[in-house]
This record gives sequence, structure tokens and C-alpha cells, in this order.
Amino acid sequence: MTRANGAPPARKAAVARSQLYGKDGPLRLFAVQLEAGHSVPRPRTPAYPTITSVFERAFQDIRHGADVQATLDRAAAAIDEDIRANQGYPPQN
Amino acid sequence: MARRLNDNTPIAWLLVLPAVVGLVAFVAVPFLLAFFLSLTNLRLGSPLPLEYVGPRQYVRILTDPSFQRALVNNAVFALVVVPVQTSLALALAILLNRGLRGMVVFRTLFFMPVVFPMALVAVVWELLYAPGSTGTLNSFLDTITLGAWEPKAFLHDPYWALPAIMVLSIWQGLGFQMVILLAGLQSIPDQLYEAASIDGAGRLSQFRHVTLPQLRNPLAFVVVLTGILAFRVFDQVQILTQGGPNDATTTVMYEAVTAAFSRQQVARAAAMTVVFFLIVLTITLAQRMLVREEREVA
Repeated sequence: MTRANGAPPARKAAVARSQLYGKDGPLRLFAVQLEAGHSVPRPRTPAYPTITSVFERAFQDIRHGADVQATLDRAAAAIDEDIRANQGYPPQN
Repeated sequence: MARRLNDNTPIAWLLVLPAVVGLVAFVAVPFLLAFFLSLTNLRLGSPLPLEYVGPRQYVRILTDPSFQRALVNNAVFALVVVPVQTSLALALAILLNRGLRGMVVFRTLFFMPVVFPMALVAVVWELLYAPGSTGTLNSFLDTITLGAWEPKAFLHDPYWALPAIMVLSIWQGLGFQMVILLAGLQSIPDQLYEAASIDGAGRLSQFRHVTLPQLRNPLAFVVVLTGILAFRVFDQVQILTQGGPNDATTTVMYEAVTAAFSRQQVARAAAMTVVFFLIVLTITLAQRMLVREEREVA
């Protein structure tokens, strides 16, 4: 499965056997962070397209050396503005 | 006025109708729609009703630092690319006009980048700009400076990213201008050059007083067209830098497309495009007025 789509394996036994995510694999940090609990699941909200787009931009900016707090503040403000503009994404039935 | 027997006007309208319908449906209607939508809060795929919010979108984008930087980047891009590309194209056209052997081969080679879509050019140049000492450009510069060059990540450096994109845009657009200027050069009659040299003009003088004035029309066309195209930079930014190190390469088209399709804020994108349209219109009209004035004087 991992060879087919490159995503981290879903079982710990499979992680140990995977070439990419195993102990010496190049992507082992993903598996380590998943097991140590540093990763958080995606927010389950209709605002996700905006959140992911803003987050991607912020991540790249920080990687290029922008001030971390200021970038994250701007990203949070953009996400808040979007949620406000959509009136809090009220549930639709 | 009575209609003549062989008046072809209704037939002409009928024949033109498909094209006019297409033009209206795909250019005029979206154009007008953009004006109206920019005054609302339209979002892509939202079940909430559309509301009229007036100039709020314009206020928001004009105070957004990303959009302001996009405007600056577009201005820098146009101001650098148009003169540099035109001068290089003129130089190449003059070189090719000398009629040396193999001119056809060189002309084809210089024109080939124009045929490639910009996305393809961007992907190829991404390999050329690869960071680290194994990247093509880095190792080339390392070789010619005999080891004194430190490998640079061009596309990740806030100062080099926009120049890098300008270089590849110039490379891609050069052939087109060159071909047009070459055609213009070949239509200058030789007698003018002979008369100039009889009058004692040196090569540089001949260039300034014979070549450039005769090339006024092709040059005007090429400059206005490149100026308009230079404002539409999107493909390279999308593929290479996605807005660049801290907005260093973001352009108005890129901001508008990401706002509309990644953040689903169609009204905001519409406002951006309306602002952009007004800017480009002003600049193009100014360019055309300047060029026309010179033609009347000459």
C-alpha cells in the first residue's frame, strides 16, 4: 500500500517493515512524529480549503526565513476572516 | 438610405455571428460579471445567499500586503523584462540580418522556445535552477568562475527568485520579438543605408538614424504586446515558486487565481482582476499615445 501511494502505513507492524518509513528509511520522521503524538489530525471543517491554502503559504514563508509569530498571526487572521465571511459555516440540511 | 441590390451587410453579419456570439459569451459577459461580482461576497460552492457588500472587497485587497507586493512585483517585472527582451531581440535580429551562413538554423533555434508552453519552460528551468552544487546553473557558474561560486538556491532566495523568473520569461519570449523585428529589418530598403554612408554616417549613426526610425512600427507593436503579456505572469510563478519566498514572486494573476480556487473567494478575485484591468488599460493607453505621437512628428 505504501509502495502504491507513498502514505505512511496504518499499522505499527507495517511501519517497521516499510522501506520508506522504517528505522533507516528517508521518511522515518513522519512515523516517529505520528507515534510520539506530535501530529494533530486535520480540522474537520468546511473552512478546510482556506485553512490548507493559508497554512501552506505560511509554512513556505517560515521555511524561507520569515518571522514565525508574525506569519502565523497573519495566517490565523486570514482564516478568521474567511470564517467570518462565511458566517461561521452554518450547518446546512 | 435605400438598400442596394447587392448589399452584403446582412450576410456579413450572419457569417460573423458565431464568432461574435463566442466573443460575447466568453469574453464580454465574464468581463461584465467580474465588475458586478466584485461588489458582492460570492464564494465558490457556498450554500449561503449572495449579498451585495459594495467596495469592501476593494478595500480589503488594497490593504492586503500580499496584493500590494504582487502589484510591485508586476511593475518590476514589466519594467525590466520589456526593455531587456526588446533590446536582446533587436540585437539578435540585427545579427541574423547579416545573412551569414546557417541563418535559417539559428532563426529556428531562437524561435523554438516561443513554441513551448510556458509551463514546460518553467519545468525545464526548475531543473536548471536546482539548488546545491549539482544543479545545472550552479555547476556551470562554478565551472566558469573556477570554483569561486557558492551554490545558490535561486528559487528560494528572496532576492534571486524574481530575477530567475524574469530570465526564463525573457528566454521564452525572445524568439517571437526577434522574428517580428527581423521582418521589419528586412523591409528597410538598402538605398537608405547607402545614402547614409555616402553622407558620412558611421555604423552607430546609421543604426540610430536609419534603422530605428524605420523600425518604429514593429518596435511599437512588439513593446506594447510584450508589456501586456508581461503583466499576465502566472504559469512560471505557479510551477516554480508558488508566490515565492515571502511573496517575493507573487503576481496579481497568481493572487487572483489562488484566491478564487484555493480559498474559494471568487468576489475577492474578481476585485483583484478589475483593479488589474484598470492598471493595464491605463498603461497600454499611455504607451499607445506616446508611440502615436512620435509617428505624427516623423
